[in-house]
Amino acid sequence: MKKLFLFVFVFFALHASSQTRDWQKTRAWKIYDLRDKKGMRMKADSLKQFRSMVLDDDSVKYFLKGEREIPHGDEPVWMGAIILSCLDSSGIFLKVDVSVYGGFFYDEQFKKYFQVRDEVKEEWMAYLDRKGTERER
Amino acid sequence: MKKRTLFSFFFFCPFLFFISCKKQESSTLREEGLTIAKAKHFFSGLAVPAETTEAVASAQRNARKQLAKIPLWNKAYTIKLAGIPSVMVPVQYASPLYLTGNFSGQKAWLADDITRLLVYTDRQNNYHANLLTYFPDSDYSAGGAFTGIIFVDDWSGDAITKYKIGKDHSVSQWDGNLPPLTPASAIGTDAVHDPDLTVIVSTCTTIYGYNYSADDPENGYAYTEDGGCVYNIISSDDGAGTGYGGGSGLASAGTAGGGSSGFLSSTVIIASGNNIIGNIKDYDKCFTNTGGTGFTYSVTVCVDQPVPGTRETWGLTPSDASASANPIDVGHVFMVFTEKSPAGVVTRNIGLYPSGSVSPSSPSSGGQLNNDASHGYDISLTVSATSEQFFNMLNYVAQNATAPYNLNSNNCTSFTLHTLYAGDIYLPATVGTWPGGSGNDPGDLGEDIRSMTLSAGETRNTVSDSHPNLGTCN
Repeated sequence: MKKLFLFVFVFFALHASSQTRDWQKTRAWKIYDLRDKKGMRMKADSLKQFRSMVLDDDSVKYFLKGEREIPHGDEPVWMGAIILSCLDSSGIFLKVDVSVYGGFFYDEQFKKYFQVRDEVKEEWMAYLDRKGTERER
Repeated sequence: MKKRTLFSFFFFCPFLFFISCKKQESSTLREEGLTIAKAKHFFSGLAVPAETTEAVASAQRNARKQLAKIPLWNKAYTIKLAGIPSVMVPVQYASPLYLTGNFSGQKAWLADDITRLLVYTDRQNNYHANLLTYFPDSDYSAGGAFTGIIFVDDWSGDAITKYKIGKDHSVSQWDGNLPPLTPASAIGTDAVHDPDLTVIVSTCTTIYGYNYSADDPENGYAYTEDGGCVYNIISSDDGAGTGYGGGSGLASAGTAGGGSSGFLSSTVIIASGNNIIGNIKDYDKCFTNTGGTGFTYSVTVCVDQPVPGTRETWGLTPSDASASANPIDVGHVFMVFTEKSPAGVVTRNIGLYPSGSVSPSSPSSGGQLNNDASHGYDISLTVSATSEQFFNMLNYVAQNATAPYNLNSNNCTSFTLHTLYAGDIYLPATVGTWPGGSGNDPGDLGEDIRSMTLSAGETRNTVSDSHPNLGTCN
């Protein structure tokens, strides 16, 4: 019984750590009127109470194309964040924290960090900054 | 033909959502089931004024209103709009009329292709007839959902309303009661009491028409029409659920072809900042080192502490307490430079960031200056400065704008402290430690500011007020 329990535990632990995200299959991206510490501490299911604006899925996917996962242990520190959300390929609502510097973001569901391509880093920030200035009521 | 039908479907579908007009040709026939024949019968009973361009001063020319046009009943089709039976009828103008807008990119449209007569009955079976003209914007692509401005007029071309359809399916409705040429600053009277209000920006659209007949080329003419304005309220609020919808409190009158008119905007602009400052010299150029009476200068140090009210050098920012890879927040420090003069106020936010990701195990990266106008803070200190102090600080910033960032030795806190030193302003420089490193840090600087005895010309603030960039110059 103990072995079975251990097996199940290890299986799920490995499964969790091996989960990957296909950002190209995400959709319904939004940016929220919420930032930094307060935004990062907000739970995904509480985001609805904040103003948001729909982002163009194709634009977001362009920026996320070719992203790479940041290995555990190399996680960068945060100096401010912009809060986004999307739906994954199964329609599950995801909260995504985007750093205001460095071009990295955090998948709150899988607890993983990702880095956008160097060549789009500044453009990605400029895009979010521009979109962040046009949030819906 | 098939192509045209498809085009029409996508193009004219947006009107599904909003057929609720105030001033329109209507009549109560109390008949069930709208057919093309009934729509034609209703329309033919309307007193439709004869259109003419004769005796109209050139300044008042508007071919959409004055050019003769006929509904093409043989091409009419029925459609249900929001469950309401309707008849859509193509319209033909007496001569080719090309229309475009300052929002249409390089494209122009033949009025016949973007105009329809819509006849529908409301829930009380009242008949209505509207002339719809769809002006696509540069985001519109054939076959896709319509984006642009829809003019809803009566048959003679007088405006009933207008709708702006956004790329994200947002709908803004024209509120035509604004007096002509209403300045943006007069919009949103409720909003002006908002301390977060920064500025109200108007984006106005113009329709250009060109009426041309091959048979009478001498009498072709161009004209313009007002397409309405979108008023967006900019606030620097980064809190939740506050702010205003653009155009709040909008009132209005006005007709197409008349003066300025407003769209009730569904958007709010919030200066989110954190955009990279491309050229610090250019960014700071509105500050005037002329001195003289009436000029005052100050710098505000804003501290976003990892754990507000403590000297902690880092904090966790969990959205889920059970998370195993909680993001580590190290906070941030930035500066707000302000010059006040009889000419107005100039404010610029400046903060140092790494250009790439940094962590205690990898603390170095290139440095870059960002506009932190939307970054909140836990505590701030404002210090008055002379012009010499002020510009010495700005010079330090400019000279060190591209200095390498280091989490231990040249981070946002130490950069701010060194900038202040350049202006002979000395704040405590407590060094904190964290796993894998040490250096000046927002936690300690925040608490140093909290505990310091203030001198003349110094102000402490523990509420995160808005601090937008203000002032423009050539």
